[in-house]
Amino acid sequence: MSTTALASLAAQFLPSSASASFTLGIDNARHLLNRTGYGCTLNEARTFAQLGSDEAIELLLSAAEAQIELELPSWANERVLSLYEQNQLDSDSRRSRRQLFIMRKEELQIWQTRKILETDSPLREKMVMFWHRLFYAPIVDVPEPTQYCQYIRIIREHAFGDYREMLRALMQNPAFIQAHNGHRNMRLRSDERFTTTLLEHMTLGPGVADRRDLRGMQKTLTGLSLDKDDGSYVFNPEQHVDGDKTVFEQTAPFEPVDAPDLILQHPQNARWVVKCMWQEFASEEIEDDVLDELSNDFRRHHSNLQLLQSILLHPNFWKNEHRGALMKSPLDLIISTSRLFDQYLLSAEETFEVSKRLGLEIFHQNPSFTNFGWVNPSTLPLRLRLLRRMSRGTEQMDTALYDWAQDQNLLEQITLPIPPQRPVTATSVQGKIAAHLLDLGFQLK
Amino acid sequence: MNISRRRLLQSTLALSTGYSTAAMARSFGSIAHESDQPPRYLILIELIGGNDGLNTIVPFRDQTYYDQRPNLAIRPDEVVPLREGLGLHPALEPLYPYWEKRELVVLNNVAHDTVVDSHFRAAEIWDTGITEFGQLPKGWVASLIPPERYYREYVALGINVGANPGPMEGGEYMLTMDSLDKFLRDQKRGVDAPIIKDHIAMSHLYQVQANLARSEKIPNNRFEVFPEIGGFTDDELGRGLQDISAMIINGAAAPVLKTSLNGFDTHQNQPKIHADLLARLAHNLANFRELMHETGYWPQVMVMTYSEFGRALSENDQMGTEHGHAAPVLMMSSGIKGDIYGGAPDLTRGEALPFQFDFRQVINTAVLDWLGTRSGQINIRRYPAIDVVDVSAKRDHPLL
Repeated sequence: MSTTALASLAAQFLPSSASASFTLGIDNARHLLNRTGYGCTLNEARTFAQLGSDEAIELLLSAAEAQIELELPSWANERVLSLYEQNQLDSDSRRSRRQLFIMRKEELQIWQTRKILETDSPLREKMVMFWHRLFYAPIVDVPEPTQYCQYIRIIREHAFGDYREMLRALMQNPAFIQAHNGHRNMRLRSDERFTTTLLEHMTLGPGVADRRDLRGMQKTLTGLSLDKDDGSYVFNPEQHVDGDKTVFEQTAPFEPVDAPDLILQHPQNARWVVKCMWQEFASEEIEDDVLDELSNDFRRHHSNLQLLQSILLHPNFWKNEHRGALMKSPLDLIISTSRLFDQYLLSAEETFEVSKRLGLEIFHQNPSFTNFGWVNPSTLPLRLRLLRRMSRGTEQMDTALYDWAQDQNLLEQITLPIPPQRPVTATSVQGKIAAHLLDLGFQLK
Repeated sequence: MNISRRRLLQSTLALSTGYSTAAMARSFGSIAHESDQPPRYLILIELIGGNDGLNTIVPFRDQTYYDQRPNLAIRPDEVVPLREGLGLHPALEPLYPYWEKRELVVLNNVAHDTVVDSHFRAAEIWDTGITEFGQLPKGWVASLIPPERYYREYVALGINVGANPGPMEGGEYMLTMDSLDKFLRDQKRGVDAPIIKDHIAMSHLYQVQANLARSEKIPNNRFEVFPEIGGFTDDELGRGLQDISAMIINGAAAPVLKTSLNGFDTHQNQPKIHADLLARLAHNLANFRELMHETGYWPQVMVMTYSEFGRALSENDQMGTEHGHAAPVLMMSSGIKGDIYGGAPDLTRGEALPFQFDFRQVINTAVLDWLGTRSGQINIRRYPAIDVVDVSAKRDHPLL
């Protein structure tokens, strides 16, 4: 047996985190940067192409986990009016307050869009958006924009931190609770919406908890309430259903504070988080052995950063079958095209609007979408229209891209995850670039 | 021209007779009902990239023009003079005979009140008629109210040949095709989504695409006579006009037909590039006009060229020009009062030339007075039409 064969055999039996690092090259650099960010500029592709895979991933992760100054709007720390003060308002001030809140909510949505456009670490924003999608809280369903800012802080603080901490913090966050009607679940008037959303969409996946579990959890979660002076979270024992509840085969007088641990102990929780993150970064499909392996690890460490790291380092992340296996989200599409030209063709406001039109409204994600749902008969023509308009003109293309585009192979590698579906017949450089952007494969990442 | 001329004439005879009956009825003073008139066609030619208006319709008596463009200006002795110190770029000379016949209208200084520098935004404004940034709104052709008897006379509301459907995007009854030939072949074969083995994502995209294609159809049987039309250049514009002619001659067309010519974004080496593009434009327009004339369809056709913006007043240091604002729109038809409208450009107001006509007036003119229908968009409707369509050719619009 030759040494190389031995090495490859050895590699198969090594734990995945110890997989041999390899020099990326343009093709792999595009794959990595498309998945961990919003496309890449030529410079980034060139730089990353020179790096080893482990080194590149290390670089991306260390940039991403750094906590940054949030620079939330100046009103983010404003006090929430007490219930008494709110009741004192006359109808005019109520109306102007409503108007103000509508404007501030849009301001927050644009703020997040700008973060994504201007960040020094696209991976940080991608991860933040991932958690915002998993633990979604539609901004329209949260009364006060300042409360939403707290929710934003929690997601950002824990995006690369401890999953358990994140779950605990969210379950005591007024914005998160109100978005899902958690505060309406009371002793004499039960409301199951918060419980169902939490278990089926966010932490365990559909169909895991049975009727009895849902009922038990709903009772456990009675009494979530908001302080009538400052709107912060309080537990109101008067609205709580006392006595024993049975959740996941355990019976005890559980209170809301026990709920996160009940969820964390369920074996399906880790599997669900792993599956969702795999679908965000690697592929719609996750192999059974990969799921077992990653979720066993995750149950041990509950570190979001480590989970992401082991996904990116996993040999299956690099497998050919997973190239181009994900649809570009509207933000992926808009921003990756801009970055290819090395300049932002759309402002934050425009990006937000266009993305909304293509089905992704920041802070208002539809939880039931699957990745493939981004591209459907009504959005595909819009997407192509956008690309057609974006690839007009010549001066907007970086001259370096122009030089590159002369080389069919390089142009293909930087734009398409799989070979072009239609032969490129254009002869002009601009025509070639446009042909690659309009190829169906450009919809994929 | 290698048409099987006899068959072509046979097929067109019926229609042109139909037309003369209608014309006769009108000249005898009887009330010609809308439905007696043959279908009208508006051919849009988009000059992609931003056409340099000053070097298209040259203000050859304006010294500022020569001061600002020492290298790029067209010398007075090269210009084909039209009127009032304005003249055609020499490459447009093939259009001069139609100026003499009063079939060429120059609407000078057309734009809108929002100066934008990006092709993306400018094209969106021209495509939709909306200057505020919206959420990818519908194109203006896509929001046309179908003309009366639309279903009998046309096969679609808009047909685009080439890569840029532009104003036709986002609506129903819009067809877009790379070429007529390919489109018909695809229809015969049927569009089926290829199954890409082991690539679910790509298969999904093909499935979506096939679903879309199924909703587009031209009745194939209308193409029994497929003339081989010659004389056009072998580029996007030439092939586009060739296909458009075939559709019109076969009676399988739409009220609005569009094709485009790309490459007008002349930041560098403008003189040669621009002259070449204008020569292609002039040659194909003249050829198209002659073909329509020979086959008897010219009275039913209006051609209109436009571009997302004009170019700046002064030249840059790379023998080119940067993005500007107002630019001329050319119209060709036998039903218009050939002339220059809007006067000479005002070169005293800086790099972005001010506009005389809002582009939505131009669109409304073609829609109201030529096609005899109206836009479904208030944004376009509220801009009054310009009086360029000849009274005898004006369609009454019963909807108004």
